[in-house]
Amino acid sequence: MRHAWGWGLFAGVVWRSRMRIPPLDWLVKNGATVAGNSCTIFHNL
Amino acid sequence: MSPTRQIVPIRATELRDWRIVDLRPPLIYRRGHPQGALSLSRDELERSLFLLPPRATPVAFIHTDPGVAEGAAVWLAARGWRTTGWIAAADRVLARTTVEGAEAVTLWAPAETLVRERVRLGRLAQRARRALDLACGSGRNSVHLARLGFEVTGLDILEDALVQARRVARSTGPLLGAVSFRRADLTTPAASARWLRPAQWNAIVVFRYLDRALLPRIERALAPGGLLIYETFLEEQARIHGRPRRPEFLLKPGELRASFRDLEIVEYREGPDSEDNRLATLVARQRKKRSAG
Repeated sequence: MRHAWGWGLFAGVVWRSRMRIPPLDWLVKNGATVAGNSCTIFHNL
Repeated sequence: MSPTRQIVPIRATELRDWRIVDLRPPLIYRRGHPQGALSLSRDELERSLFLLPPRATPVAFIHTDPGVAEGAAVWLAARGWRTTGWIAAADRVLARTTVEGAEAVTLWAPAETLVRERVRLGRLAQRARRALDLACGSGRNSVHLARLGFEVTGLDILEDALVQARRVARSTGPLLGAVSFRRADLTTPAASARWLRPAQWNAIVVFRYLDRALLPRIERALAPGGLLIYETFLEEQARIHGRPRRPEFLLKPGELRASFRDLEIVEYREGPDSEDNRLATLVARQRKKRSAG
């Protein structure tokens, strides 16, 4: 039982730390739209 | 050099590769936002370009309404930012982000030359702290110098620029030194006599400003051992980018170095920066003892 508490706490800390910058996949799974961009690249022809 | 437009899916990257601007109301932002996200409303954004990172840095916008988020991304791309993206998510989803409350976020960057010279400047600030940022504009260079430990005075003729500069200083975390901003018209004798007294400053920085009449006074205003960092546009800039156009604001090749020939030149170069601006850059030191004559 004590082990379960420990693992639960550990998982919580990892989750909170990961969620400081939520992964885009997680955002998308939760209904976010992640899109758009425009990128201009300069290169030598 | 030829520009080509290329679309890169934002999902091929991760959020930490982007600088994030959260366009939601501040109250909602404080309930949970991605770490390092700057809180700005859509209206503020248009007046706050000086708070954003350089144009080469990817910027992503967050809002609950995809129209607002996408609109901001397109608007910023039209202003020259090379990579912009957007994320629209419900507040309840973003509220699960574990950074809560207000956060001192700095996305802006000082002039590339000041970043390059930070070691030399940092060493100087340990023993001689009085620095002047002449024509300081929105004050990013002044605040950068204050972070390195200088006691900085930023001068500009435009009150609007000083309002922005004070905002930049407020939004930055604690400074090692200090910064204050003053309005001054250096073309008047009274202002130049007050702010450019002989040996008044240990460091003077001037970016994107040229008044040839002031150059000898700037040189004299440097204390022995003091550092001058001067960077502004060459004539070539007007031919390539059209602005600034007036010849009195543009340097001839070699002119900047020749204007400060009594200083010890540490570094001098002419050419394009990362945004293809054509600039002359001078880093020079006041001699410990003035040469006779």
